[in-house]
Amino acid sequence: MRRLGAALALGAVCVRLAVAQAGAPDSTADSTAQLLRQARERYEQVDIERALPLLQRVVSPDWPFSVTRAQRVDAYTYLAASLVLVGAADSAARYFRAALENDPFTDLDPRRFTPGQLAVFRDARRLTFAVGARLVGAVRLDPRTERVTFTVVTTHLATLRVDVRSTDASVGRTLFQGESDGLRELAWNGLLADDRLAPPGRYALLVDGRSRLAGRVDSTRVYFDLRHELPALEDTLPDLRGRQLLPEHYPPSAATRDLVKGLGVAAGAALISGTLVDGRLGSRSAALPATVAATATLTGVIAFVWRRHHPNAPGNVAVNARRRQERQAANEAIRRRNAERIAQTILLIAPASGVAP
Amino acid sequence: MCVPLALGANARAAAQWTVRATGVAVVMRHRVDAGYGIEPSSGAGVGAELVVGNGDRLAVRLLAQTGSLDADGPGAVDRDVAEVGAELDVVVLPWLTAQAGVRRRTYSTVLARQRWTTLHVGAELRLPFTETGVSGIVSGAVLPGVWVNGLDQPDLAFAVASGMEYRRGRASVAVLYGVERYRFPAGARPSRREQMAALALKVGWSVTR
Repeated sequence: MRRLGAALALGAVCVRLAVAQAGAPDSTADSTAQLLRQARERYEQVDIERALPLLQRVVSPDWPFSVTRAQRVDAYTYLAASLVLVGAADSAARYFRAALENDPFTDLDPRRFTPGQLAVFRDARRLTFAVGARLVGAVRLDPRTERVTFTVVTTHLATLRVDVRSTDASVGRTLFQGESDGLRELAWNGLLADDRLAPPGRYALLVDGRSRLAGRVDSTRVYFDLRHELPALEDTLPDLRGRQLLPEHYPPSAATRDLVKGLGVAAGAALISGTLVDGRLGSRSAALPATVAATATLTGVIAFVWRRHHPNAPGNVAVNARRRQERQAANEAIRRRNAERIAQTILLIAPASGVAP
Repeated sequence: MCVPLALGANARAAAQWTVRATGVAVVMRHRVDAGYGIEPSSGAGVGAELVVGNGDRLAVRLLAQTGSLDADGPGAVDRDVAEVGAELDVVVLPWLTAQAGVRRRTYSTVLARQRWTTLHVGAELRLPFTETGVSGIVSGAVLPGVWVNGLDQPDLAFAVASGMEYRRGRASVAVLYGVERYRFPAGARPSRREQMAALALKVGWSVTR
């Protein structure tokens, strides 16, 4: 790293000189993208002497315009490739390493770069250890039939572990653990270690690597948001309680009430025969009302004694049991319908705005 | 026979439509004073009721009874009695049923035949016991329309009843004591008082469809 820093400082000095030679950037070439395009055109025309200063301006700390990471990696790569062509292999390797450290996915197309450049780049990869991870853009997938693919990379042979884990670290799943060299695609079906569908929330793809060549370690993480798309679920019905259930035991007063009712009916018969009949029509017949009065009184007494000894209400118990069974069946049907809907869950995966350091 | 109020809860079955057929046996005590002394008679009769209920709110009751009354005193004569009627029951509250109906009764003697047509409006109060199917019954009705051939409208006419009902499954048994009482005002004829007391035993069977 110290040597790389020295190389970058040297490059910066060169850039300052180049900037001094070229004068202040004019208004037509003051953007990073424009300058990079011009540099690449010079490079493609093998006008390395003109390409180098342009590229060095982009990576210079004095460059006044914003430079994206991709632009910086592009500049480092072309700068290194240009330096190889002018015979400065050591400086080239350092710029390749800078490109790799910025983006471990950096690679050279063998059709566009010379074997010499490829060889220097391979050396840079051996000397640099970095891991990277990429998540494809927003994905909508059916976890029953589809998979989301993550791409991870190591700059050279390394022991690698890749996990998907929720940001609260409560649940997760290891997607890969073993040796890896270069690019590796990992598919995830949306299930966690317990084989349950990952709940909605923010997740991180955690990549930890240990170089098998230098013993160095590196890690990275990529955040993404996971959402479920499914039909609205039904709420289960609450347990029956209070007035929804009949009393399963009669209160002690129930027996007394039964007795009073029986006596009340008997009194009604007596009232009819004693008061409501027409007294001018002669003697009252007691046999008929007495029959009803005796029946009602006997019923009241029997009900009173029976209820005192049998306070349970088997009819109500049966009704309550049936109501509970119906409620349970209704809830089971709701759960079944919900399970069917959950089984049709679609996962929506999108890169999260938060990115790990 | 003279108990126009009974088994109003036949329509309360849980099924949407209920049909209940009931056999009736009745013991009657009849007394009348037409201004010439009390004429007591008593007898027995049989009958049938058919109650068709819709849900637990409405029921229509059709009834037919017949019997004979034997003279119990020197001024009375034997007579046969026959009656048909129709009644509408409306369950106002689980324990209260409003009732209204019309009846046609005929007394036949060797001398004459007297026809009674009555309208009654009343209510039946049910007192359910904690034991399922056992209920006390108290009912009352006024008879705002009473048409008797040869007589004016009575200035007093009512019917009351009290009894017990027992249900078990589709079967039901009820025992009811009731009284009908009439008072016809004096006009061209002397005032007339008439009363029918009855003890009815009803055995029913419901057919739900």
